[in-house]
This record gives sequence, C-alpha cells and structure tokens, in this order.
Amino acid sequence: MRWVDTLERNKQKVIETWFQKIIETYPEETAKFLKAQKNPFLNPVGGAIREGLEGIVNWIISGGKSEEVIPFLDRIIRIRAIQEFKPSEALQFIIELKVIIRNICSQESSVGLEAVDALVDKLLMESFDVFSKCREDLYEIRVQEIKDKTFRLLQRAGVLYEISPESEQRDR
Amino acid sequence: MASVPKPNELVKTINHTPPETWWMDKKVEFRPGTFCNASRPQYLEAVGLPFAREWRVTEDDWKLPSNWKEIYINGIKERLERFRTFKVFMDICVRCGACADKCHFFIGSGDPKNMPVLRAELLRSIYRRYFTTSGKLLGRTAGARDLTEETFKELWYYFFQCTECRRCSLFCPYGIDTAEITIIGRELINLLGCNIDWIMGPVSNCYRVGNHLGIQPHAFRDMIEFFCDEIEGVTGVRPEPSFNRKGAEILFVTPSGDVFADPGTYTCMGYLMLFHELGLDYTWSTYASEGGNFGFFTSHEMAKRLHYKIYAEAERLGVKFIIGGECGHMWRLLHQYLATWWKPPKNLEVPVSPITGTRFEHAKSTKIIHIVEFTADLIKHGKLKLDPSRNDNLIVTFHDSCNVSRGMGMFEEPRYVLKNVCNNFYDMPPETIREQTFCCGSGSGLNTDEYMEMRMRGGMPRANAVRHVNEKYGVNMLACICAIDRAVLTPLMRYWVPDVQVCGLHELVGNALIMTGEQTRTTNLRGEPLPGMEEETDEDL
Ligand code: SF4
Ligand code: SF4
Repeated sequence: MRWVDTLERNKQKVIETWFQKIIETYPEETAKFLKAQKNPFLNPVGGAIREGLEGIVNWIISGGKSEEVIPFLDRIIRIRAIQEFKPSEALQFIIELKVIIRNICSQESSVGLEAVDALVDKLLMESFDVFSKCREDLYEIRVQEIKDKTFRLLQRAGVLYEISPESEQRDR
Repeated sequence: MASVPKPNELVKTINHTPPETWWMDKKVEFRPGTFCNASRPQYLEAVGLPFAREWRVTEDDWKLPSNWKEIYINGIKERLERFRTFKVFMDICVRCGACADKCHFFIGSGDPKNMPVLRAELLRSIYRRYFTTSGKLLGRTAGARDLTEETFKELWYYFFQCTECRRCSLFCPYGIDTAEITIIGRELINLLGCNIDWIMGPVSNCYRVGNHLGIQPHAFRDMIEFFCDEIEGVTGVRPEPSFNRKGAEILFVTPSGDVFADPGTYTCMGYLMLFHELGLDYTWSTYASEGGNFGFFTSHEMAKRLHYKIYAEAERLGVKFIIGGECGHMWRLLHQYLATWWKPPKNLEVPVSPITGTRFEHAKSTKIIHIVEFTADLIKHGKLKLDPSRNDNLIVTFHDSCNVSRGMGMFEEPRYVLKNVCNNFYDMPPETIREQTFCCGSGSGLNTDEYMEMRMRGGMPRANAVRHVNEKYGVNMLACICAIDRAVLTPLMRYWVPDVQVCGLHELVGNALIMTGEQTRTTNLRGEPLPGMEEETDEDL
C-alpha cells in the first residue's frame, strides 16, 4: 500500500499523537487543560493547535503540492512565538512529525515512506519564515503603537515632517 | 564506520518537556517583553511615595530598603485589619480549581502561576507563614513559605500579570475575587517603591497637570479645537465647545486617550458632534482633563486622591451633574468605590437629561452618568436623527470591557446604541462576552509597549473570539467603550486578526448622526469614503 493511503487511514491517530507531543512542551497542569477543554473559545490555544495540525497533516497527505500550509503553520506558530519558548523549542514540534508518521505508518506496509522526510523538511523551512514573520510583526506593532500614542500631539505641535510628493522629490 | 543517528534518535536527545519543579521552587526569569519597566524616581517623588530610586527589574539588586520585610509584613497586617474581603480571601479558598482555567493570562501563556488560584497562593503562602499558627509551625507542609527577595520578585512579576479583570471571580463558588488580591498585592509592592513606570508616569502627571500625558490646559483646548476643524471639514458644521465655563449645566470628563491617541480621537469627535447637535449646555475642564485613574492601579488612597479633581472642578464651575466619556476603569471606580470616598459637592444634583427628562436615579450617590446611558436614552426617546447606512461599510462586533461589564453590569446600553447606528452587528460567542467577557490583556496599567509580548498572550482569548466572527460574518470593526481598549485592541488585532479595526461607540454615532445644516457627507470621521461615495471622494482628491 502507498504510504499516503496508510497515513490517510491513520490520520486521526497521527494528529492525536502529535497533539499530545506538543502539549507536553507545556507544564503538566497546562497540558491537562489544553487536552481536556474542548470548547475552542475557552481553550483557544488547544483549539488552534488542533486546527493547525489537521491542516498540516492534510497537506502532507496531499503530497505537499500547495502553498496552503502556511496559514496552518501560522495558526500554531503565531502562538508559540509569543509564549515562553526559545525559537528551537517553539518549532521542534515540526520535526516530531517525521517520527510520528514513521512509527505509525511503518506498522503497516507503506511504500515510499521516505518521501515524508522531505515534506517535513520543507515544512520546517517554511516554519522558520513563519516564526520570524511573527516576531517581526510583534516588533513592528510595538513601534506602531508608540507612533499612534503621540501622532496627534506631534501633528498638532507642527513638528511632524509630513511627506508630500514635493518633499519626496527633494530627498532624492 | 561512524554511525549517523537517525532523525528519531536525534529528536530523543532534545527534551523540551519542562522539568517537574514544585511551584514554590521555580525562580522567575525576567525576559524582555514579559515585564514592565521600573518607575523613574521622579514620578514617585511627585506624589510623595516612599523609596524613590533608580532600579532595574533585570538587575539582581532591586535596592530594597534594609527593613523591607518588616514593611511588607506590616503592610499585610494593616490590610488584613482594614479589608475584611482580603482577610476572608486569604482564608477561605478550598482550592477547588473552578477559577483555574478562567484567566486569559493562563489561557494565553500556559503558565500555571497565572491560574488565579495560584496567583493568589503566591501571597497566601506568605500570609500563612507569618499570620497563621499552622504556617508558622509547619512551614511548607502547611503551604507556607518565607518572604525572601526571590519570592518578592515573583509576587511582583505575577501581580503585574493580572489585569484585575475579575473574570475568575465569576466562577468561584466562594466569590473570591483575585482582582482584589492583586490590588492589595500591588499596594504592598508600592510600599517598597517598586511600582512600574507606565503606571507611575500617568499618576504623577495626572496629579500635577490633570491628565495622564501631562498635557497642559492650552494644548488640551487646542486639540479639541482641532477636532472641531476636522468635524467641520467632514460635515460643514462646526461645534463650539466651551472650556472651564462657570454656570454650565454639565461637566464632561473623558479619558485623555480620547483626546490624544488614535483611534480614540474619532470617538471624541463623536461626543463633540452629539453635544453640538443637542445644543447641550456643557463644558470641558482643562484641569479635570482625565477620566481615567491610574491611581487605582497603585493604591486605594491614590485613586481617591486623583479622583478629587473632577469633583473640585464640578464645584468650581457650579455644574449640576457630570457626564463621563467612554472609559473602563473610571466606571468601575465610580460604581464601586467613589460613594465611599467622597461626598459629591453640594451643587451637584441627581442627573436629569435636559433633552428627555429622564432622571438617572442610579447615579444618585455620585451624580455622574456614563455617556452611553445618556445616548441610549436619547435614542430610546427618538431624539436623534440617525442614518445607520453611513456605517454600512462596517460589520461590527462589540467587546465588553471588563470594567463596565463585570465592574458595573452595563451590557445592553452599548448594544442598543450600536444597533441603532449601524446595520451590521454580530456578537461574539456567548461564553466570551457580557459578564464572561475576555479581557483585552492590557488593562490595569499594563498597556505599555515594552510589555507587548505578554499583552499578546493575555489578549489571545479575546482575539480568538474576534477571529471567529471575522471568519463567520466578515466582521471588520471591533467597537468598545473604553479608552484603554481602543488603544490596546488595535495592536492586538494587528497581531492576531489583522483585517479588524477598532473604534469607540461614539465614533459610529458621529458618523450616523444627521446634524442640522450639515453638507452632504462624503467621508466618515476617519476621512474614508462613505459607502456609495467612493467616486465623489476620488474627485475631491
Ligand atoms: S482578575 Fe482577571 S487577570 Fe486577574 S487572575 Fe482573575 S482572571 Fe486573571
Ligand atoms: S474557585 Fe475560589 S475556592 Fe476554588 S480555587 Fe479558585 S479561588 Fe479558590
């Protein structure tokens, strides 16, 4: 049987195992909560992780042909990027996927399972970009907030150098 | 041949599961983005707070006074005697855990010490150690621990990770309000001069100049005049507000954020338009130029002290009552504390709307009403001509700010106003609004930029619910009636749900309000084309 078919059949198992792996990166009490509370509005972190994981596994099953995986990566990484994790800790869950799929799928006949490695590597590369985008957003937002706080005052005090087409010309 | 490890073997060597450490033994790590900066000494000096000094959160030595433990423990003792609630809250928690997963900081950060029960336990353990027999004798076994510099830093860290939002109290079978524990916790921190810059700056400015930013009277007036210019540009009608006018019927006080920070400024324009259209006999004070009260995040005394300027101005100007703008904690203070602090000056009367004749009985003790009550009453009596279709480019949802919802029970009025000034309104899921509302994550004086990372954690549950209505109904505007919210939901949305903007209620009122003698409007208050007017505005440009 092709590995994709095995994966498809074991999709829920893969997602559950993967989910468990991720929540183990949180303290025990938190992990319990992330798992037990099923209402996504009361447990938005758990909800987002589940949603993201499912999207990513579907992407793997589809053979990773589209760019559509980014929003799913973003769903999870956007959270981990602002939590108490180092970058390596925040992204390690991606690599775990290799092991999980192998363990689960190699129990049955799965032709061409090596293909998963390349797909997960690709995911990892994408996830670096997503992670740094999230951190950039954070810094950008911080700067923007400082500007918003004082913009009106500066504008009123006439000390804002507003860029008009002419001044742009002059600057060149 | 050297054996190359397989991926799974590699992964096995990296273990990111946090080690099991008992909560009492885990040391706080101060990572940038997760704490607020220490206050500059001049801010403490300005209001006469003790132990003003230069110190830094990330340095080992916080330069605490030599007898700091004594001060801290005496501080607890004094408050146990003064506040019955505090004493009860220290004693009665049964650790049932009902509150544990209700805090937005816990939900968003995953840090168990942000469970309300554990946050309180940080202080409770000190209380047990010094004030209960079992704690004195049995120590740790009785859940007690010594007060050390390490534990003090931990208390500091986590009491500035609570926005005093009271969501947890809603679920506690004993009514324990962790917000009140945080309030006391911060008072104790204050005794040692360890307050944060973002709170103390506004406090000292407010005390000396009258508003958080320290804007002087002429600049305050100038700013409002500037809004009148903008309003005239949009509507052709120019409001003529008065300042410090004796004998006006009403004094209007709003948080200064509405006057100086976008997008609150558009809300401020909405107030000016509404009052102008009504021909209201009201005045602004350039001295009581702040509705917000960061004193509340410092100590009960400081809040009491900073409030007084509003009454003093009401007395000096001889007004009959006060209308307050769209603010959050201002209302919690008025509702829960003010009547026990100050008696209103004699010239104030029970507020009666001069337009509808409605007597606001519930404001009998303070003589201050919320502008949203005032406006809802106007609409109910058919006193406003409104064209909600001018807000048709917006699909709106409403964030119940903790202070006006849980703090004073105002749920219907803002929704009533919203439904009258715009055609597309959708509430977020019920478990995230009204009394169960999720905090913005930046309240109680934590809305400083260096704290952005923690703010994004704390605001995540709120943003998640917005995201839902954004996906389901196409919501693109998050309305609220709190100046801090207007300021902080904006970055929160930028991070989590970038296509949603933030506004105050009266911005939408201003857009919808048909004013006597107005020109055909082509843009809203933000200068964006009104629905159907896209081509006209193109021509203008
Ligand atoms: S008051 Fe709000 S922020 Fe503080 S512990 Fe309770 S839920 Fe958390
Ligand atoms: S719900 Fe109340 S009694 Fe239960 S753990 Fe929380 S504070 Fe304690």
